[in-house]
Amino acid sequence: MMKNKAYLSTDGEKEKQRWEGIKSVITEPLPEMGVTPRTAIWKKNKAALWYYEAPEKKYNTPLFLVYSLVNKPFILDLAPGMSMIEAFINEGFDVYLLDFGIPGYEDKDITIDDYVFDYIQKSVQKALRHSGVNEITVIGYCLGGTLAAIYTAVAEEPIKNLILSVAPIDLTDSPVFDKWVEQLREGTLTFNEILDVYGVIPACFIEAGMRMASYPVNISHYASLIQRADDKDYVDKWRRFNHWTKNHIPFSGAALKQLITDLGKENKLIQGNLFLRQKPASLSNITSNLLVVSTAFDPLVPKELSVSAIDAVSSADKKFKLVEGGHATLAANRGLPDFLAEWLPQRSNPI
Amino acid sequence: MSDSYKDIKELAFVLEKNINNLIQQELNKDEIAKSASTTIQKHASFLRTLQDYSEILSAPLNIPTKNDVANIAKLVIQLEEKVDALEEKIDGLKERLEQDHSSEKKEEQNQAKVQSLKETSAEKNSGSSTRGNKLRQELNKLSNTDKTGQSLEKLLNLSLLLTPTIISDLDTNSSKKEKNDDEK
Repeated sequence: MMKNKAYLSTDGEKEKQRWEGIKSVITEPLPEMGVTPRTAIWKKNKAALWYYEAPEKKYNTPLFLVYSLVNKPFILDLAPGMSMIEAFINEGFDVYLLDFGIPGYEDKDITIDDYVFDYIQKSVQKALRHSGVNEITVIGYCLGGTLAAIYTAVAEEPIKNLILSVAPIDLTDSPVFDKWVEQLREGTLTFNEILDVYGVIPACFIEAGMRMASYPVNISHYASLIQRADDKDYVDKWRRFNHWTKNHIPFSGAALKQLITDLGKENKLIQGNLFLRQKPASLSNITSNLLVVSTAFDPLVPKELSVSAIDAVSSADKKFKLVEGGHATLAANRGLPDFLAEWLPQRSNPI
Repeated sequence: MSDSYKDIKELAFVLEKNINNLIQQELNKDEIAKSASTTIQKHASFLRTLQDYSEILSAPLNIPTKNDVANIAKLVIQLEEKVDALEEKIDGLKERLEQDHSSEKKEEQNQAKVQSLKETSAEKNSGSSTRGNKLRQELNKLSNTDKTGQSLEKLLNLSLLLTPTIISDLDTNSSKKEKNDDEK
């Protein structure tokens, strides 16, 4: 960055650099993302369990990352120096990432039960066998955090630590469109038929839904780009993040129907009456060490949707942390955040 | 010049926030939600009819539908699940074999210890534990094939270690008794 700015001595040069930066966004190919070395140790349907080996392992307890079903998980490994996965392995943790893949029409009947038992539970078992250890840390981001919490509530595997990052758990009060949620709960608004007809909800519909709930009109990031387009590093990072925001994936209709009904309408998870394959998925079953993290400027998942998890679990060691940032800040971090550096290593069985 | 870009950026943020708040406020109304519900139901009904007729027409036109392709894909997924289940069983068997192998090694080590104990007890009780030797001989025949025999042999060796003098006394007493009977 310093080398780039060294010769920008005049405003004219800076302006030239700025417009070249803007032009490069349109003309140049996208940089490669998800480059941290990894191995696929298990695959099921469209999903893959990726293993990232720590160059110098310092902790016996590996990390198991569960990402959301609405985006692609490469946000966790955007670029060298801008990668949570890279930060974890450089700290000495072995990392396993469950990538659910991109569902097709044949996946329209996959439910949350299937995702929890046949995908998450199976891949945790594979990770435990592969690593040869007796316990594991599960980290869930956004909807992945919700799934991670549900899984831990029914898990037979030894989950030592559970970290929920901007995960919606308690949907008592909706941050947006509360009138729509009221009508959903009264039964006058229903999405079941439309979800059945589409089968798999197209990615553009998912993106539209996310946009309506957060930023229906989104122009400020272009203004930020124009202001800093003379900085090649900034342009590079902007392109990577922008590419991720536009890469939503289709959503299984059966899973979305279950989420809307069981969590959105009846709020079963926080109420303690959620059942998966006749097993109670009550948060009170969770006894793992728990860290719940929310960000201060998240329009999608404000802290009110996550903080109640602390009182619902049976864990002895539990903590809620509110940090600066937006919805994607914790996934696209440049290094291990301070709150994680304080909390995780001591609970991960140092070698 | 760079200050004006900063001003544009700040203006864009404020404008964006205001427009978004307005949009969300206008859409967050009961009548809009009800109207959306009706539209969604009609849309779903229309699409359902379209899909049903597509399925019917696919027969005379001899063209596959999305459902046909999805069904084939589901069969492949089912097959993958079966292979996965087999793989898990093999992994389980592998683990059990490894456990058995390690326990067999332990068994062999125990046998070697038993052998050394035998030799030690034989040195201690040579000539005096006749009965013990007889028992040991009989058990040796069994021990190569019979696990029970092995266990008994182990017990015998332990008892010989613990009470070698008792057996030697028994033997001495029994030989004395025989002598007395003879004298009588």
